[in-house]
Amino acid sequence: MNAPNEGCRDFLAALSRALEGRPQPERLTRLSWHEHLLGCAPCRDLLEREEALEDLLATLPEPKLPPDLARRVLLRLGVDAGLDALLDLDAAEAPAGLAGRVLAGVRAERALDALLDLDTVDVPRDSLPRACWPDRGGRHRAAAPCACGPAPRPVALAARGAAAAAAALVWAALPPAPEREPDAAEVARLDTADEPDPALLAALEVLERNELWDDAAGGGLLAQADADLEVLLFETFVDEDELLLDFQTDDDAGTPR
Amino acid sequence: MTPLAKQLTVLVLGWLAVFAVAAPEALRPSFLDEAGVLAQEGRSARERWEALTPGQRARLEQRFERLQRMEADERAALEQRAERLRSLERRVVDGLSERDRARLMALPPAQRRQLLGELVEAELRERGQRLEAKLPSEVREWLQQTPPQERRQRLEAFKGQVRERTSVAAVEQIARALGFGQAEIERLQRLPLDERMDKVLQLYRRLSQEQIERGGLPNGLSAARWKELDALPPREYLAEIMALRADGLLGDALRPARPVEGVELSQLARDLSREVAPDPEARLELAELAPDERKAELARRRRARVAGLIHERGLLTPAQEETLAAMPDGEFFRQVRRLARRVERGRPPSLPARAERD
Repeated sequence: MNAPNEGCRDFLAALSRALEGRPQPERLTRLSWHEHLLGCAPCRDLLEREEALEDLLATLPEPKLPPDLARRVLLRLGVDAGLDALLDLDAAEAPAGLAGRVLAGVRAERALDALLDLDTVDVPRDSLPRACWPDRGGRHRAAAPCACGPAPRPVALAARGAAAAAAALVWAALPPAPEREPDAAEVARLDTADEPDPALLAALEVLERNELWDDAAGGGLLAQADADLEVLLFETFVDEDELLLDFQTDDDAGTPR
Repeated sequence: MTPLAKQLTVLVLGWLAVFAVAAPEALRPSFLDEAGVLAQEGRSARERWEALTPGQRARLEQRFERLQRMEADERAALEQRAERLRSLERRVVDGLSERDRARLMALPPAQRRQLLGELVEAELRERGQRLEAKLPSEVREWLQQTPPQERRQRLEAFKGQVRERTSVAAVEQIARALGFGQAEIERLQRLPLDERMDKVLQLYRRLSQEQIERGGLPNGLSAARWKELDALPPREYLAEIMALRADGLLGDALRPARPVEGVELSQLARDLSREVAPDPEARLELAELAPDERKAELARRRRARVAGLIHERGLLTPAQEETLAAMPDGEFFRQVRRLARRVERGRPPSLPARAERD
C-alpha cells in the first residue's frame, strides 16, 4: 500500500482491533461497512485477504495442549514437588492465634452493628455475653440497655452518620491500591470493552440524525414524511426534477376553479 | 462534634456522592446539542461518539441494530435521506451572511442547535412548497385525495413520467434557445433517459451561463461567487442556480422579462418569491424567543411584507386582498407561491375562487 493516509491508518487500526483474539469472521463483515473502503482499493483488498484467512482459521479445530504436557514440563523443571506442597492446602497449618483473631474481629463487627442498630452479622452466641444473645428473629433480646445493646434512636442515627462520614473520609484518604500489570486477556478486554463497533462509527452520521428516526428521541421530520406533503415532496424530487417541472406543458399555475 | 452536626456532615457527604455520580449525565447537553455542535465543528465520528453519554450511546446502538436488520434498499434510502439532509444543512449554513453565521455560532450550544434545526426545516419546507406550486393542477388534486400511505408511491410514478416525457420537451426548448438545429435536437431527444438527463443539465448550464453573460451578474451575486459556481460539477451547479432563482436573484433563462400592461412580471415574481422565502436573518434576530413565539412572529412579518408588496404593486383587487388576508398561514403562503408562479409565466394574477384546502 502506498503511503497510507489518515483514513488508511484509522482503518488499519480498526482492522487490527477486529483481528484480536480468536478468529471471528463476523467482525470483519461488520468492518466492511467502513466508509474509508469506499475510496481505498488497497484497504479493500487487504480486508478481503484477511476475511479469507479468518474464514479459514475459523474452520480449524481449537488447538489444545496434550493432557500431560504440563506435568512433563514441570518434571523437566524439577519443581513438581514444591508446587504440590504449595497447592496442598489441607496440609497447610493455620497460623497460631488465627481463630482468636477472627473471633475478635467478629466481636468488633457485632459491636459496630449494635451501635448502628443493625443485626446483620451472624455471631456465635458463645462469643458474646449471654445477656446479649440475639433471639431467633435476630433481635437483641436484652430487656435493659447493656454494654452492646441498642442505643436510643437519635443517638443511633447520629452515630450511624458519624460512622459513615468517617468511613467516607478514611476511604477518600486511603492511598490508591498498587497498580498491577494487567495480563494479556485483560488488556484485550479493556481495549474492546468501550470500543465502538467500527461499522457503527461508519454509520454514525445516519444514526445520530434524529430527523430520520421515529423512536422516542427521534420523532423526526423525515421519519414522518408520508404524512407531511411538503416533506414528502422534498424527499421525492431532486433539483433536476424541479427543473423538469418548469417544462411541464400542463401548467395552470393556479387556474381559478 | 454534636450528633446533629454529624448527621448534617453525613447528609452533605451523601449528596456530594449522589451528585458526583449523576452530574455527568444530568448536566450534559441533550444528544441533539452535542452531536450537532460537534458535527458543525467537523469532529470525527469517534470524537462525537466519545462525547455521548451512556444513555445516548445505547440509543444509537439500538438504531444501529435496526439499521443492520434493514433490507439493502431500505438502508440505502435512509442513507440517501441523510445525505440530502446534510447537503441542505451545508447549504443553509453556507448561505448565511458572515454576520449571521457569527451570531449563530455565538449562541449557547442548545440554542444554536435549535436555531440551526429551524433554519434547515424552513428551507426544507420552502423547497416542498415550491415543488407543490410547480405540480400540475390535476396532480395537486389527486395528492389531496390520496391517503398518506399511498402518496409516496404515486409521486414516484409521477416523477418517473416527468423524467421520461418532460426531459424530451426540456431538451427541445433549451436546445432551441441555444440555436441548435432540428436534426441535432431530435438526436438529443432519442438519447437513453440517463444520457438525456445529463444533456438537459449540460445545456441548461450553458443557457444560464449565457443569461449571465448577456444580462450581467444579478444583484447579490459577486463575481468571485459566480466563479466558484461556474466551476461546480453539473448537479451541484444546477442546485445553486435553482437556489438563486428561488431566492429571486436570477430570472428564468427561458422566459426573459416580459412587460405586461406596464408591469415587469418576471421582476414582480422574483420580488414575491423573495418576500415569501425563509428569512434566516430575522430568525436569528428572534433567537431569544421561544420556538413557537418565534414561528408566529416570523409568519406575521412575512405576511405583512407579502401583503404590502401585493398592495403596493396592485397585484390583486381589494376583494382578493381581503380573501388572501383571511387565509390561515399555510394557505396564505401556498396561494402566494402559486400567484408568483402565474406571474412568472406571464399570466394575469388571480386567486382561486375558494381555497383548495380548508
